Amino acid sequence: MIFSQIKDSLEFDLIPYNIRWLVSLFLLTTFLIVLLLCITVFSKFGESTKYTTSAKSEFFQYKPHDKNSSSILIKNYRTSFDCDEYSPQLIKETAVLNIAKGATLSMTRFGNGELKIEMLGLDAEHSAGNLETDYDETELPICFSTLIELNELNPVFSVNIIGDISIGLELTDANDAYFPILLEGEVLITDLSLITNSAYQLSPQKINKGEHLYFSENQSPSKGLIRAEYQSNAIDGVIFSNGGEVYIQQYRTAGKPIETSFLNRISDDNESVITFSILIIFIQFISFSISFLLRLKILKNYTEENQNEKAIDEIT
Amino acid sequence: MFFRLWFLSLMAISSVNAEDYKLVDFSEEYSDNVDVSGGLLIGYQLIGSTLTKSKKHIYLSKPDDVDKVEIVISTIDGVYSASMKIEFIRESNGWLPIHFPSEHAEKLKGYDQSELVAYGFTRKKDRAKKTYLQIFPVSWELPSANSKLKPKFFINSASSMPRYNIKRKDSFCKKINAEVKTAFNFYCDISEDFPNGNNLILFNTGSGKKKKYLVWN
Repeated sequence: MIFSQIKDSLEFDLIPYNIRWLVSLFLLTTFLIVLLLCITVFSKFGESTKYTTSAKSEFFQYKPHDKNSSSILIKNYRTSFDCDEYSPQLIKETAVLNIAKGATLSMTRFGNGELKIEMLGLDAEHSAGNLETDYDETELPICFSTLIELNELNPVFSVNIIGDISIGLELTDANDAYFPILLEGEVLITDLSLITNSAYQLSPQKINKGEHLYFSENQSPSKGLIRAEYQSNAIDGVIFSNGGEVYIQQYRTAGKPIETSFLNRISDDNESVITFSILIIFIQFISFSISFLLRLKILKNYTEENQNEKAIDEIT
Repeated sequence: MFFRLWFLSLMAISSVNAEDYKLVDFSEEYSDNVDVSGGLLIGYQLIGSTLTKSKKHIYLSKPDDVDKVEIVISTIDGVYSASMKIEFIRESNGWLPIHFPSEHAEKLKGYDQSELVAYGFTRKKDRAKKTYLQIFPVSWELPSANSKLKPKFFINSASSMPRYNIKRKDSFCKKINAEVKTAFNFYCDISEDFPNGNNLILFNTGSGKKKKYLVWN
């Protein structure tokens, strides 16, 4: 009923038969462009979105999802079995730290020299993990801390991590110590293209000094590599995560998920750019064709009317 | 501890009225850039399970011999901060209802008990003439045997693993799960064997830095 009313009001009957299919094609293409635009505007980062976060930070924290997390190789270290006083003796032999399920591991490094690793068990009844040396294996108390001295003979510390990861600490107005902060970084986002669902990369999102980066909880564990080198400051890390959201939090503000504008999404997705360009050019071509054919029709009608008038004049 | 709460609440109902104290000073600030309390300990408060919308009174428990108390109140997001100075005219005991004369009471209604925290204290000097704080418990609702209130410390620390020590027993504080943490970022559950009377509490926030408070309970 409504459709026929619209059809009547648009007076499609006046359009010549040979142009009607072109008008239909024009409307279909316009609808297609609007549809694609809507999909682009309202689409969000989803499960298929991949984030690669590279950061230089004075602080990394992570909580393994299960007990199969990667062990940590340490050497040239001092230990503290109460997270307070460190042993005066520097242990040069290698040892392996295993993290217990539910424990939290924090890595802090301000300057060049020392890297501090703190492990905290789930609660008072749970050990933070265990420490394996060449001589024995020690079950750790709820809190264990080690200071690793990086120098020319021990220039690198590296560990693979998998679990809930956060970079930098959320800044508060605390005045008991200086906050270890995130120094710099960027998040590369890879998403699936609009047309063929193939991977494309969006413009990287910069992370500024002092911001706190964390990942949404209900996603698959993030994986990453942490590395501290003697000749550089802080700790370098690369974290890979699939799906979910990446949050960036600034001082005195709530964390905000990384998002991109639909214009950026269109401009970064080459498939979208080409598709929209082709559709717009196609629309212009159809418009030109409709206009050209209508002119021809008008010209033809005009010539026929003239000829008819001449014929009538000749008869009269 | 919990028996004491119940006992004190009974006493409070019978023995306290508004004329027991006078408000010597009250200042408050509500804006996006409030200068929050600069200490480590931001709150020592009894926390219930329910949201107390009315913030007209704050209940304080203190020893009989203390007649001057300061109360500092902060919101977790650092938007609000208040400071009260109270002088008790006569000896009072039990849970004392202190009128909270805030002009921003309506705005504070939305804050949960654990997001608007307070601590009452008095300043004291030790033998070396160093100032230390004697802390008293406060609560936004009148503690009773049925209210199931639990005492908690709220602290603001740059450490990732702060803890406190009572009678040589270490307990770790836990991260607060909130959107914005400016005035405080950790809470410390107090074990049920927290002794009555004065307790020396040492907060250790890493790198050997310790801060002591005398907490009355």
